Amino acid sequence: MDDTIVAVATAEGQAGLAVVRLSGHAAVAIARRIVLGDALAEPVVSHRARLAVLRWPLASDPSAGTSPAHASPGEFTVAPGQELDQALVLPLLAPHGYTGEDTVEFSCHGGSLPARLVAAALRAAGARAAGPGEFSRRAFLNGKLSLTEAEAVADLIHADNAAGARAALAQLRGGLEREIAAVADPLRGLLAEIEGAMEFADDEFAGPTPAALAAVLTEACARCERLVSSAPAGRCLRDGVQVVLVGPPNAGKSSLFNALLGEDRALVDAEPGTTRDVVSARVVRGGLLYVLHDTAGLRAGGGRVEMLGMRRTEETVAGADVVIAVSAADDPGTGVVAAPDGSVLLSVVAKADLLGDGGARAGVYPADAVLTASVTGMGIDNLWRRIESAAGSADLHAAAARGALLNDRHEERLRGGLSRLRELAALSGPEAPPAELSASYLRFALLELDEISGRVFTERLLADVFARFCVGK
Amino acid sequence: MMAGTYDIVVVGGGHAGIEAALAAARLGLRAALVTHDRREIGRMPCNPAIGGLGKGHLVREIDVLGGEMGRAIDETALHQRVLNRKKGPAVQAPRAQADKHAYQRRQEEVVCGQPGLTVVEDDCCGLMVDPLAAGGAPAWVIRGVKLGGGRELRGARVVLCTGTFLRGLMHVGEERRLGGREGAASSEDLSGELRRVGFTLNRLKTGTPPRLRAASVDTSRLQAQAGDADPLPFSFRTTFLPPARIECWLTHTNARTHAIIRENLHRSPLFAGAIEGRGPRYCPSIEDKVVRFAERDRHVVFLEPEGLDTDEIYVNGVSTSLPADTQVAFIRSIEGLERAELVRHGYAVEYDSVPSWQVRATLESKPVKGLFLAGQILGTSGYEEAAAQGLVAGVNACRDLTGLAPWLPAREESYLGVLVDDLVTKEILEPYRMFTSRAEHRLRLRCDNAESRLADAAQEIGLLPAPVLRSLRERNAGVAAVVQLLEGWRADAAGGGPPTTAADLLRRPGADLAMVGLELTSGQELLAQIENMFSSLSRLAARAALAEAASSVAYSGYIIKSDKHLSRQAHLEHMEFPPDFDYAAIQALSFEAREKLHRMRPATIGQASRIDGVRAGDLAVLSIHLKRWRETRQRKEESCDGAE
Repeated sequence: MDDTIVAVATAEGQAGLAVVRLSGHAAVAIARRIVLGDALAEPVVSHRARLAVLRWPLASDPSAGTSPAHASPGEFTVAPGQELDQALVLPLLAPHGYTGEDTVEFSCHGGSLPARLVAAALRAAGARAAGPGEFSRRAFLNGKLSLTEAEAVADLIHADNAAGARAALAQLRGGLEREIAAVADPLRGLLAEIEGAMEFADDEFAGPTPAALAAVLTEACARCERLVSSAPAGRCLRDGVQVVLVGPPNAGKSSLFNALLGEDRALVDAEPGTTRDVVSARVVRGGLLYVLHDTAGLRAGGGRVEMLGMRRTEETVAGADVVIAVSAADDPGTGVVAAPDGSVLLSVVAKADLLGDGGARAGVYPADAVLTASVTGMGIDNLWRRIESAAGSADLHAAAARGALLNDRHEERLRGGLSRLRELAALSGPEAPPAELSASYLRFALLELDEISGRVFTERLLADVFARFCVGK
Repeated sequence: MMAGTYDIVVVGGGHAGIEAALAAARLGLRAALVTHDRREIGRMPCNPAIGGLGKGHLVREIDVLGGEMGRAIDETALHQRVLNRKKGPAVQAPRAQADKHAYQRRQEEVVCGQPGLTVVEDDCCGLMVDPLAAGGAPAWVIRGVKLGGGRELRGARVVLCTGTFLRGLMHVGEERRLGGREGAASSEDLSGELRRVGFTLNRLKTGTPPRLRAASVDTSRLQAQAGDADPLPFSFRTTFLPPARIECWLTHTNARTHAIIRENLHRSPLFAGAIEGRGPRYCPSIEDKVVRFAERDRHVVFLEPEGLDTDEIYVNGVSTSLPADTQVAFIRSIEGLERAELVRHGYAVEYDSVPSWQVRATLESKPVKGLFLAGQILGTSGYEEAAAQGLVAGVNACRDLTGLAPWLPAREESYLGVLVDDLVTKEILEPYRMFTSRAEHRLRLRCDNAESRLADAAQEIGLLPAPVLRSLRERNAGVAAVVQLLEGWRADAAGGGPPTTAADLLRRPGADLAMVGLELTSGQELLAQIENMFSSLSRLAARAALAEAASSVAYSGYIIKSDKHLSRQAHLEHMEFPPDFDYAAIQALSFEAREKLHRMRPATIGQASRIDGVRAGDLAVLSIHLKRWRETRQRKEESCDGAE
């Protein structure tokens, strides 16, 4: 956290304005090297934006971290001192900026080039390119964000689709914490009743009835299960729906891949085994991100490199949300693909134009197979609809609106909490389990849930107890 | 003028002072105990009872570690009950009504008869300190205390156990007077002295109910509350305990009581705003209860005789600072108390306390080296909590003086550990009382296994005489052997069914050893063997050992599970901060966490994690910075090595 970092903060090539963010103790000094005029003259006023012309830093600037001539990346041809863009320059001084450090934000003209140029100029002036999520990490380390908020922001930054961004935003506004509170608060109330009855033995508190205990447990388990079951949705929203094309070599996977993308992305050749590694591409459709993976064909034999490719294929399939099993119309093939648990398998017959008017030959392909012909574009829209429905796009949008964007940490804690609650439910019968054991399980469940939002436990519990009970003799 | 020179000077003859002074003298140091009046040693100014949930646990631990309280209450108890008998052993605890005067006399005799301990009857008016290096912490070192008339009592270490006496202010209705409790003067100067050497003080409040003349109470219509026929002792050294010698009674407030209280609320110092100190939520005054729980039409009142040679009855449940005439009126509205005479009125007392973040886990103060604090002065309430601190402070003052490593009880091994750790990590805004729910390791920290849990600590501390420690070890080995026997004892179920182990039977809800004896074909043989293994113990001790073995078996699975859950943070728990760690410089911490860490200076990440306001994110930041700090130091050391 000693150096100053820079990155383009807005998504590439979409917005009318592109924001470049510079953060760190030298932010103002570095920014001055590319700002013409007095926009950053002393005294720098936080939160006051000024319009200024930006330029590539001068070669003679002795304080620049690296020599500008070398810092100039190959993709730009710029001369020291060359003017780049006119931008709004907004200094946010510590601790008020987003990261809690001195920050300067540049609002450049839209399109990716001006922003990338400005970022490059700032690097030439001494800043370092920010790593993924580094701004949020700094914001978190500077106490500007809670853990869940920081995670949400990291997700938001990485969200290159509308639904993912909406989910991250909802979480940022406390969506997940609210969901957790809806599970935890009734449990806390239950625990307070049990504790009260134990601690104040003389005060005639009965503690919860077995029925009340069971009711709260059932409800909490159901809510936990719903949340846990939204974990794949969270993953889909954050990382995209993973769509994996598999099938025997030369079945037409790569042609189909390109047809689904609408561009020539994968190398297509008639020779079997052309695709030796996994080729991936990202597509946004209906506000959701899909990541398509074209894999090496599955077949026996083949060279060592091809074997490696096939192993990669298996790994990719294991992480799939939708598996598309492709076979060629002229060669039904034999490869049976096992889709991983929780994923959907779609059968596709490629090169269906070869079948002529006869269409699907009964019994050779699954009845629900989608017939496609990459050359003519036949069946591609239909296949996309099937993919969207298999990915549960409606559910994903609903999950996004709730703000349930679980990451692995959340999921692990939730599963932990759920296990404790189930263990307690298993102890319960017509009679309530021993109070100290109920309390123990509830406490551990709550510890797991509280870890999601990072709360401190005991004092709140006691406060609950005191609020509920007229205690003390 | 010199009044004497001692190794350890203890100020205060309450429950904390007794333990601290006795520990010092028994560890072989020259100790003095300063008190206004030796007849006040061991007084119970509030409820004449010891024990209960959490508190009883503390007394059992104090006893095993060589403290005095357990034996004192066993010898002077009039009425004992194990609370929560119908619940699990982890949340059962003994509670006993003491003969208040007998308890006091007994403690006075023990203290005054203790070789190596001198009782000094005097006021403590000030501290004798010398400055240490400028700007450092601690800024002072203790040299002793100033007594009345400016006499000096020198002490290499001083333990302050002054209870509620610091600027004590008593309220009865609109009346106020200075005093630490009924009939005792307050200590005005000492507050100023503590401020002078850099302590921050805050104001707390507590209260007590009226006392009634026993003969004026009509118990004929009231429900009696009998003690246990076969009571459980607090002390493992107690071999005989008489059954209850008195009865307590139960009655209730009613709508009329509540109406009288409501009509006079404006005369209550609490509601009229005359009291600034914070009172305990767990022990509210009756006026508090009537206001906060307006929907309840009655509250329980326990009538507890204060002793055999006194005519006073303690009216448990109606602590109050209402005016005297209102007290008489509402008391007489209660069934059975229609003609009650008040021997003494209830009152609230406000007093200065030293917020406990100003002490370390040894209870040595941070501003003054060699000055230890214990008991109510640190913001706790209760005789048991006070005694526990007195023991910790006394033992550590001695260890500090003799150059031994401090004795630091841990949260996972004792309620003493929970107490001390809470004191150094919590901002205490109301008088602190122990609850079992404060202990994360509640299933393990039971009353029944204090002997097994704390034998090693007792040996380290060194207060138990060698033969006592030896027999304690033997007893513990016996318990462990019985646990093994139960785990390995496999037999057919008496009523048919698959064979099972005695231990598995015991783990069933509601099971006990008697049931195991009946349900296994060889059950009676097992019980006989176990009885034989404890034959060298007294009847009381054998019963307690048996209970421990049974609950250890019953809880074992849950304890393993709970340890697993709690161990996730364990690697951070004991990660230590360097003494000069600069929290204020870590911008990464949230404002609240930074301010509190800077002020409270926790010793470990574990302690930091329990400070309210320090959240998971702050801990992540702290551990990152600690790691960085260590790496920097390592680099420095390496480069120093290279230079040589």
